[in-house]
Amino acid sequence: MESAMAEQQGSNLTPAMLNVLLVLAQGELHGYGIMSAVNQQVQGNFHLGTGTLYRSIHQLLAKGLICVGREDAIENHTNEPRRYYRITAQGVAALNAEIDRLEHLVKFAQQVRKTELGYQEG
Amino acid sequence: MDDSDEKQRTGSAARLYQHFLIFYPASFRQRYGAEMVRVFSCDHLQAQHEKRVRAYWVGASKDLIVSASQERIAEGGNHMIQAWKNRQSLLFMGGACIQLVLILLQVVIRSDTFVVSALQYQWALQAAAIAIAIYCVALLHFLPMHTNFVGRLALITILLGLIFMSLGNSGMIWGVGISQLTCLDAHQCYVYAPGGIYRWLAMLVIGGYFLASISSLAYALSASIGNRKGHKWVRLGFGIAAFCFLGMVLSRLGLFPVELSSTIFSVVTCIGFFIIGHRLWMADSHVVVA
Repeated sequence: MESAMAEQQGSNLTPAMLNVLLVLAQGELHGYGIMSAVNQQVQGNFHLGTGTLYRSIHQLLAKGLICVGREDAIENHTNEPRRYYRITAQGVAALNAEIDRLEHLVKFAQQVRKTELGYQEG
Repeated sequence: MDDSDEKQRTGSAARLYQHFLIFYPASFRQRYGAEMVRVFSCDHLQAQHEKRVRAYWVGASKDLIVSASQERIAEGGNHMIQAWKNRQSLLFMGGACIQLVLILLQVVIRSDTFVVSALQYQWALQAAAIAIAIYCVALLHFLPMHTNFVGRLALITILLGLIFMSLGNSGMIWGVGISQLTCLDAHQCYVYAPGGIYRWLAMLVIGGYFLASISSLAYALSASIGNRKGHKWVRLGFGIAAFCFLGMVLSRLGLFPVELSSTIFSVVTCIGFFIIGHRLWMADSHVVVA
């Protein structure tokens, strides 16, 4: 039942959400930390903007895949604390389900490339 | 470019970005706005170091437009679901739509070109009466929370008038009050007014109903979208409608004397709606009749 739910949540992940989850799987991070890590992770394939980042965070929080961790008090004009986000157990399950799905897809794509397109490795 | 200059530019860019956050829904802005500005500042500073500020702004603008639109659509969808669950706002919207349609009917049917026959006009009037009767029945279901016995009695009286009206010509006398209320009779005030101040008064009545309906629709829409600030428009609508009811009764009494029963009915209807309006006004209720 739980794995089916994780699979369902995994398949609903957008590329930005998946990247945010992958980064948070490595440890707790604040907004800019997530953004820098994701942009480094994708190696210029796409740039995660501020709006997309916080939309993804908003959706992941709503799905219960991440949660707010510690908050750092920092001094600036808003006096808003800096929030750190971390992945939840549900988030780990959804991430695993999504990785399995992608793994399966890649294996199938490689098979099609070899048999139908005559691609030779190496 | 030195460090302080860079920071100053980033500060200005962040302030500009802060203004752009208005494109996101209010709840989203309140929750993430400060964080977003902070992240934007860091990212902008980085772009300045790498001397790609112009490209950065292009990307940031695209990101802002896409993500804000997506968030607005997502929130709009949620509110539509909420509105569907909240039958009160749907009910209110339905009533407001009926009112607007009736006003348009009034303009089309009673125009000088007379595009429909007298029989069709009668059917339209009866159909309108039935539609409003259904609306009133539905309102009765919700009103007890916000009105007292007199308010409910007034609504029931109006309902009875509508039922008589829907039965045919014999019910017309009973229906005069409600036909005024729904603006079906307002244009007649204008047509039969001898001129001068009476015509102005009749125009005020028609315009007032139109404004009241628009404001009631605006409230319904804003309530469905989740912004309760629409209340002041409803109050304005009530004020205008109340003024128009009074104006209509006065013009009726002064211009062309009708049967005493219909005059009394008009007065009772007006008082009833004044009471309902006042009760709802005082209760600052979520269910509003306009």
